[in-house]
Amino acid sequence: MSLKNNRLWIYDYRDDFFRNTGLSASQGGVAWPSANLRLYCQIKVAKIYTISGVAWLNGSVVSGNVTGALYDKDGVRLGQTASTAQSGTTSEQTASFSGGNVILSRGIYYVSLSLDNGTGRINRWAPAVGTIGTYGILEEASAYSPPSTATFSLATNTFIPYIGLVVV
Amino acid sequence: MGQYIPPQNLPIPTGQTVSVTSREAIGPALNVNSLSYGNTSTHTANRAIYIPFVLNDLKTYKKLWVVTGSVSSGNFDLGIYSSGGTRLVSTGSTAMSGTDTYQSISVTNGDLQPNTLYYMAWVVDNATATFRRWAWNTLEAGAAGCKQETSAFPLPSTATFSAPAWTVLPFFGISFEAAL
Repeated sequence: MSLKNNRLWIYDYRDDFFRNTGLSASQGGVAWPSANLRLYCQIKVAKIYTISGVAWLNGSVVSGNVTGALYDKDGVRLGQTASTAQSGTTSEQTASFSGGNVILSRGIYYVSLSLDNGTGRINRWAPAVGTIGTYGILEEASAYSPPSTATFSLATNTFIPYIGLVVV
Repeated sequence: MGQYIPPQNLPIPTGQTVSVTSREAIGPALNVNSLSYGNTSTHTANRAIYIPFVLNDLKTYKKLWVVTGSVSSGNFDLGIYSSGGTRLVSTGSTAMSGTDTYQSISVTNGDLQPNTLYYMAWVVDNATATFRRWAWNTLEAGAAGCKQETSAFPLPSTATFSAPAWTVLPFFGISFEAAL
């Protein structure tokens, strides 16, 4: 698959986002479920890519700061952004990894996001009742600063953030 | 020695969960028909449903899961079978817990090979419990490679596959991540 805008979004290569199990979008975004909660979203990488950072879609309210990070499927951190002021309502925002580009080979990874407040809005999909786990969404509380090793738990909110990776 | 150029046309990686709706299973057959997704109680008690799947990668299964409906009743059993009908793992008879929820059960871990046919299996012991499901038809379910077996609660150690007579497909699958 050729990338159309140098982005690898969490729905790319994913058939579960296109089945008819009631995934609803929010164009204006929804407030981050809780301050310092980190959400981990599975992302499929089908070939070798060089990744420079994380991208996400802000909603109609921006507030506080955001950190993005990239993890392998076992929860080992591969890259992280600095704490970045959430900026630009209803628009895409990106942040680069502090340690430079990360080269990914084919496989499963987790792109993650956390806000230090519960006011800022992120565009998100709400999965139908009982299906959040079927999208492979994981979470970790009190993890605004990306941990070096994630402690995965099944997500408890109906919140799949619109996030992805910036491809060089 | 020439420069190593890694292959760039490998299949899409298999994710950390695979369900009946995955492309590794019968997802394309469900999606192309725009089937109705909802909640029903018309499952036949003790009739096992077997759904074929083939992974693109070596994966280690850790949990089996199902999305329950609005009525909790009795027990279900989930499992994985080889193409020959040998049960590789199952949850055993498991009480339904909660409604409209993702219920995942840890199983003894095991490996599934890529490019190898397996079946994921589901059965319930009563016709009262409801599960999130798709309404389908037996002709297309059979064409997609789905199977069934009656009097199969709990799931047998060796499956006897027969053509599907069920018209309701529950939403269930396999997790390769312990937290899911």
